[in-house]
Amino acid sequence: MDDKELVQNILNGDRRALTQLIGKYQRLVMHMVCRLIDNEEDREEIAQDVFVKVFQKLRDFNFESKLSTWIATIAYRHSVNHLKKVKKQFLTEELDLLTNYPVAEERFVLDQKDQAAYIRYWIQKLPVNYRMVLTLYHLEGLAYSEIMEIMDMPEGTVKNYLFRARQKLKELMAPVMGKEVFLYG
Amino acid sequence: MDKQKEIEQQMQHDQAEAGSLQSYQQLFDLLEQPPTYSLSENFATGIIKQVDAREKKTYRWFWFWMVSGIVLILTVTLFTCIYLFGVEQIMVYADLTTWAVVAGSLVVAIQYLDYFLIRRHSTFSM
Repeated sequence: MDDKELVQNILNGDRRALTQLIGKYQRLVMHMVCRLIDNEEDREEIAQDVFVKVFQKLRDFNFESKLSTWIATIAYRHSVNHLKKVKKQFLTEELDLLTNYPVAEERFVLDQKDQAAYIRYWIQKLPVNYRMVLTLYHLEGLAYSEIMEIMDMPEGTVKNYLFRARQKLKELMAPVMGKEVFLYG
Repeated sequence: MDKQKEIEQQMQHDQAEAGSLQSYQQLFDLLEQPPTYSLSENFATGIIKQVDAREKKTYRWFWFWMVSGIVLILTVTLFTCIYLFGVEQIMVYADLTTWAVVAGSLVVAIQYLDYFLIRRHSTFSM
């Protein structure tokens, strides 16, 4: 079933179609929510709220963009609003703060599996916009035009975030490859 | 995304040395790995329950305002008529048949509005 048919069925009252839409896009929503929301307990609730919003606004969706882009926009805005509400720092763009991170509690040996954990750890320490751009571009494979639409930013800014985030992660990764490292949990 | 081309662009951006190529290749691979998370089994069911609950709430509020509006209009009309024509004049027209027709029409109108405004536009039938 394509997205148009899926949406039409949902609007006609088909609950199975709604369940199908949730199944189809929960990965995208959860990836975005996980990258933006640090508190694990809040994540599922926020993801559910995103889908409730998607349902409520579905009648206004006119397929001018892809359904995935539209859902991602809702997920992004809802997560950012949540962060604003809980008054966490979320728009700081000070990547340089990361280099002075304190000594860790948790120990990692960087085999392949731990490298992924190590990178995930540092991604979570990046400012929100950097995290989001990395996630949408690398994990979801979205085009710049889609990321621009989701984050409501010009292409130059999106690219700048992406290049700077990758550069920073590479710097953070470089001195510890193949070594034991300690991370602040 | 053309990964190799993207890495080249990244290296140009950083003015990185050739030795950075391997690091970036490794980083790009790692960035494709998803965050770890788990969802409860009733994730979708929970969403549908929330959707249902919101619709019911909207439905209840609609009826509240609808009934309130009708009662208000009828009350204002009745008192205006009494004020303008007096009770005796009104009772000339208000025999049992008239009242039955008015009441019946009211019920039909409410049923029609119920269908037209609520059920037809409701995504899930109640």
